[in-house]
Order: sequence, then structure tokens, then C-alpha cells
Amino acid sequence: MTEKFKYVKVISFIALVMAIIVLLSAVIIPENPNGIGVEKYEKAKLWMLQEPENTIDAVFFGDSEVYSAFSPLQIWNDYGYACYSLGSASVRANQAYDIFTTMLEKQNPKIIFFETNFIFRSFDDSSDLYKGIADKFPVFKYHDVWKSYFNPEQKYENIENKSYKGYMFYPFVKGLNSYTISKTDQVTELKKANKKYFEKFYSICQERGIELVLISAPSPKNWDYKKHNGTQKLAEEYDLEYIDLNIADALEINWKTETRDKGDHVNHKGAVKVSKYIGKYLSDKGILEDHRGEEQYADWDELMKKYKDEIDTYYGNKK
Amino acid sequence: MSSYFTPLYFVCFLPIVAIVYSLVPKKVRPYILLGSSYAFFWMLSGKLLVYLLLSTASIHHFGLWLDKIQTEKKAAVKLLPRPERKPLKKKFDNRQNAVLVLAVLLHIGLLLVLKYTPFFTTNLNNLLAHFNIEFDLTVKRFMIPIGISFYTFQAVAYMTDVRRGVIKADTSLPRLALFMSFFPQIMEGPIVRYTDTAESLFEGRKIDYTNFVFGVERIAYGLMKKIVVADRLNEFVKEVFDNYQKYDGGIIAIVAIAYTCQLYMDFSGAMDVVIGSAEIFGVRLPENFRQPFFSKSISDFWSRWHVTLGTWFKDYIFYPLSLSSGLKKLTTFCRKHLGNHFGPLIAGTIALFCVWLSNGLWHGSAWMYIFFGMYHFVLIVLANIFEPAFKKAAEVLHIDRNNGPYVLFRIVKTTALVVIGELFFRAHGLAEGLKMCKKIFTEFSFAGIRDGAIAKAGLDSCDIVIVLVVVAIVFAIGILREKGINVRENLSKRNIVIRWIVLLVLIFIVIIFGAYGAGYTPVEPMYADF
Repeated sequence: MTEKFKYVKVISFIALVMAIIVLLSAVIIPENPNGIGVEKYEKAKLWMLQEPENTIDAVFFGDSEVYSAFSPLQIWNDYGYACYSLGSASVRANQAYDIFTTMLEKQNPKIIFFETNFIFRSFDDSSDLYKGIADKFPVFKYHDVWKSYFNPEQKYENIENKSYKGYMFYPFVKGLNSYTISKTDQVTELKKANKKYFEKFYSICQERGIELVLISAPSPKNWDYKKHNGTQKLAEEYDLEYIDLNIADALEINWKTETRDKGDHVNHKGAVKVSKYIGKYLSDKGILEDHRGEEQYADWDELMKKYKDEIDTYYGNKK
Repeated sequence: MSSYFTPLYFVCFLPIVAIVYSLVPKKVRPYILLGSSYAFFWMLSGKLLVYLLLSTASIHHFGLWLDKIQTEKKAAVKLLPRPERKPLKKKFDNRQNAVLVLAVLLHIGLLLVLKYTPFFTTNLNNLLAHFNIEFDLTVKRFMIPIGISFYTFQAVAYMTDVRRGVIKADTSLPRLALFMSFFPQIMEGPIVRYTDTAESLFEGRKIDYTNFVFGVERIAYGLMKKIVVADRLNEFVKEVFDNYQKYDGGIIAIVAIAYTCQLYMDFSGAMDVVIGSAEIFGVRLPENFRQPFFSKSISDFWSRWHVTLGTWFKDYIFYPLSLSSGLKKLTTFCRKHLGNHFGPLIAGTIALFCVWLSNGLWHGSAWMYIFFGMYHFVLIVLANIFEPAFKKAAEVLHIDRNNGPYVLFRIVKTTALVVIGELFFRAHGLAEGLKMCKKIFTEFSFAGIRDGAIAKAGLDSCDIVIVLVVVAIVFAIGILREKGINVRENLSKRNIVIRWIVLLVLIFIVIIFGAYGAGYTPVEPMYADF
């Protein structure tokens, strides 16, 4: 076999693979593209998009700490502020940026609470590359569509909104036996790639006139003083307010009974405490309006009923 | 880039390195590989590259130092009459041993400090607290460079082999640097010896058609194991191990098997990608797996699973200890008093204990890893002790130990023991491992399986079918290999249509049935943190 023929064979094979990828990309388009091929992190974005335009005044933004700790309906009940918990489990800064910008296409909040846990999470540049490839060749995005031929009922399950304005009701208790905070002067610095994204988030808020507040949800498992110092440094650098709920005096989380997973996240009882604390903070700030009784917010009262029912059912059953 | 299981590696890094490598003159090729290897390391560990550079510089220096003493020894010995040579040789040998000990201590010491400081300080604190001593050491955690355990073991092997006279110290720093850092193997091994790769890596061989095709086939096969099976099982394994209290013994038994399968598919799949990547550049890396689930005993299993680690322990811990004067004397003493079977067994068991303690610690700095090592140590020692009894029992009962059903029984028994060991390896601590194990025996039931607990835990019927199909493919290839049939050689003799169809099927199994993208959490290679 000549050298030239070998090259022809290799190139032909690569061309054949590419041709099949293009062909499959044209064929594999699911009936409901929102249901299949939705990245886990995108679910929160799709839920958020179900909110009517320009109805949200405050957004809690971040990862699972957000949908576990901040209950917008608790704040609605106490003050009538329209808040939303936009949290996506294990989200990376690059994925969060996609959610953030999509949210701002439809909403114009006055204030965004930027939960800090996710900004320290490292991420792989490859995920940007994968997204680029998957956008060009949908077979990489919808490759799992074959599953829906066998389980048709699974098709829409992915996007069913099970949250209360983004908040997930987790009442379970898996306590932490002991917890002490050890203070240090050491600092966890943001990685270069994360800092780059943080600057993007910051610039958008500046351009849109949105107040950005850094906030750390209570989480002994994820939080430490080094991260606190790193966030404090960031807050000073960008002249932002920083609320660290891990060391907030008025917020006394009982880690034996108010966590659902040994200090990774607070449970519902912990979330009520956090939400009351933030509700008061917003009330003191006086920048948001009470929307209770407004026609546009009628569905909030309906959801409130469902929320209370679920809480009563759970704790009622416990009695 | 976080590993070689990312689009960045397959779409950009590997093709670019291969293209640049084939475009430059032969002499420059090794430097392209070296530069790419350092770039790869930098992408994974950043500034921690300095550890690898220091390690490489130090073994280069120590190797030359050992060689210098050897040369001086030869020259000095020549000048003396034969009867006077022995004391002088001993003097030089002692000097060489001192240099080797210093070199090994530096490397292993650094590994111990970086990897095991939190483990040792936490245990020391616990011990002090136990005796009510009010002294709390700060638990310091260091950043660990990728693959430190792998390249440190290569460094130790290199220096020991120079000391033993197996190889000459390499005068070329770039060649040694490439041997230490070659990008496909830096993350998860295999742990290679200097004689395995140093020369071929530095030769700058042309990328030829056969090696290229073989490499691509091997990579596709590895991706199928890792992305289709190992990553698909991940969600189920994680859910059950995290919340084992919710599940009955039947589900826990299944998850133990699933985890063993995940670990094998992940690690052996990674090795296929590593060996395939190296093959593209004409470099043959040693195999790390030889069909481990066909093993008839635990020792047999460890000679087929992570082979290069096992042979490293054998060559650099087991044999030096067994052949040390202390243990030799013990063997002679025991042989006299306990006979030819149990006599050598005592010294062998002491050496074996050190091997398995090291093996456990190598896998992680926690008590459960030490337990994991001790578990296999006990199984091997028990097998050694009772071997004569088993042999005699087989003779009395007229059982042919080589007949099919008996061999099958041994394979199943070995696999079951391995699965139990892996359950402890994956559990969140020793106590949870024991509780899970207890559940298998005391709460075994099919109720969870009937109620669809497996699907609820993240493995639906479609997933199960896909996993079983790919496992069957891997098993069938394993049988052929076990029979000595080289599947790839056979395939390469077929006509181009069949070869292309096989490769296309492999590639599209990965693309269509891979557990990546929507709905899946990316899973880092499981042996990458060692």
C-alpha cells in the first residue's frame, strides 16, 4: 500500500464519520427539544422562563445552596416581595453565565443576591467546547433521544416545575453532630477562569443598574473561613456588600436539626430562618415593593396555598 | 482540560500534537512530545509542575551519582589484587546504598508529606485527645500534583535499577524527562520501567498507518468502556452508596457488583485510551489489565489487575524484603522447625504484609484503604496456609482441580471476594462499609428490585440493557484474549469494509449511548487522584 493511499484511507474514514454525524444530527431531533437534551443545569433556567416578564424584583442566584436556603414564598408571606431562587445543582461559572443572561432577557430585578459557593467551583474549558460542538451537531446534545422511544412518559418529566419560585422543599433531617468554626487569615483566591466570569456577571449588573450583593448561605460542608476571606477580598475589590450567613449572629442554625445532609444544605426549617433574615434585610433596605393583592401576582397566592399545604402535610403527618 | 476523557483532548490536544509531531524532523519529535507532556501537566496541575521538574532533575542527578560510584568502584577494584577486592567492593556498595536510600527517602518522603499529612495529623490529634492531652496539631492540606504516586514510583524504580546495575544511568536529561512525563500515562499510569519506554519515546518514530489505526481502535474501545458503562453506572452507584440506609440487601449486593464493574470499566477503559494514544506515536506501553475477572484466586486477580503496580510492589518491596538477610535467617530457622511449607511462609508473610500495607495506603490516606489492603493480605495468606489442605481434599474427593465446573467455582468465588473488597473501597468509611456488608447478609430481599428501586436510583431499563450489551462485548473479547487470540491482529487481516464497520460501530456506540451531556454529571477518571 502506498503512503498516498494510506492518507486517502484515513481522510476518507474521517469524512465518513463526519458525514454520519451530520446525517444523525439532521435526523435526531426530539419532538420536544426542551424535554430531552436538557442539561441538568438548564432545568432551573427553563423553570425561571415560566415566570411572566418583569415580575421578579429580587433574585437569589447560585447552586443548590440557593434553592435549599432561600424561600421566596416565605418572604412573600412576610413582606410581599417578589423574589426568585435561581439555583442549579453543582453549576459551574460558565453554565451559570448562560442561566444568568437568559434570566435577564425576561426579568429586570432591582437586586441580585449572588451566592458565593458556586463561584469557587472549578470548571473545565472542555465544557465550553462540548457546548459548541453540541450546538453545531445536535446528535451530541440529543443522543439520548432513543430512550424516549422506549419510555415515552419520560419525555416531559425533565422540565416539570416542582419548585416554589425556584425553592425546593426539603424538610428531611440528617444532622451534624458537632460543628465549630475555625478562624484563619488564609485566603482562598478565585481561579483565573472563575474571576473572568465573575467580572462578566459584575459588568452586566453595572450596565443594567442592578444592585449585586454577595451572600454565603449557611453550609459547614462547603464554607470555610478561607473562602470567607476570599469573598471579602472580592467584595472590597468590586465595592460590593457581602453578607456571610455562616457567621451572622442573628441567624442561629441548629446543625443537629436544621440540615438535610449533614451540613451540606439547610433543610426547610433552616431555610425559613434564612428567608426571614433576608426578608428583614430587604425590608430595612426599603427598595422593593409589596405586591400582595396585585392582580398580576395572583398566582403567587395560589402557589402560597400549595406551599403551605405541603408544609402542613409534612409536619402534620409528623405529629 | 481536566483529563483525557474530555472533548478538548480528543478534538484538539491529541490531534494537534500528532499533526505537529508528524510535520517536524525526526530529531525534534521527542521534544514535541516533551513540550506537549508538560503542557498537558500544566493544564491539569498548573504551577505544581515544579514538583515533576524537581523530581526529574533529582533522579537525573542521583542516577549519574550512582553511576559515578559504580565507575569508581570498577576502576579501584581493578587496581587491587583479588583477595583485597571484597572489602573495597563492600565499601563502594555501601556508598551506593546510602545514595539510593537518600534518593528514595526524598521522593517517597515528598509523596508522604503531600498526600498523607492530613491522615497522619488527624490520627495523631485523635490519639492525643484519647489520652486527654490538650495539644491540637493543625491539619495541613497540600495541593497535590496530578499522578504524583505514578511518577514517584517510576522515579524510585529507575534509581533502584541503576543501583542494581540493571540499567545505566541516563545522561540525557530530556530523555529522562520524557520518560517521567509522557502525557498519556502521567495521570493514571501504567507505571512503566525505564527499559519499557525511554528509548522508544525518544526515538521519534514516524506515525505509521498501522499504529495509527491500532491506536484509534484502542481509544474507541476504551471510550466505550468508560463513557457508555462506567459513567452510566455512576449515578446509581453514588445514590445507593450515599443513601444505603434506604435500600435492602438485594440492592446493596447489586450496587457492589455495579461498582466493581464501574471501577474496572473506568480504569481499564482509561488504560485503553492511554495505550492507544501512545500507540499512535509508535510507543508500546505495558498492559495494566489481563482479564482480571477470569482469576482463580486473589493472588491471581492481583497479577491481572493493575499489573504494573503489582509488579512494582513485587520488585521493589516484596523481593528486597524476602531476600534481606534478616528474613533469610528467619526462613532458615522456620524451615528447620516448621517444615518446607510453613517455614518459608512466615518470612514471605512478613514481606507480603508490607506489600499490602503499602498497597492499601497507595490507594488513599484513610483507614478504609488500609483495611482494603489488609483484607486482600488476609485472603492471600489464608490461601497460602490452606493450599496443601485444599490439594489433599481434592485428591481424597477425586476432584480434578483443572476441570471446568471446579475452575468456574473458583472464578465465581474469587469474583465474589473481590466485589466485597470493592464495597469497602467505595463505602464512606469503614463503619458504613461494614453496615452495608451486614445488610447484604441480614436484609437480603428481592423486594427493592421488584419495586423498581434500581430505576429510581438512576438506572432505568434502557440503561441496564446498554450496560449489559457492552459488558457482554467486553466479556466476549476477554474470552478470546484468554484463549490467546489477538482480536486486533485478526481484525486487521479482514477486508477494509469489515474493519471500517467495526470501528464505526465502536465510535457511534460511544456517541449515541455514551453517558455524557444532558442529564449526566461528568465523572473524572477514578484513578486520577492517586
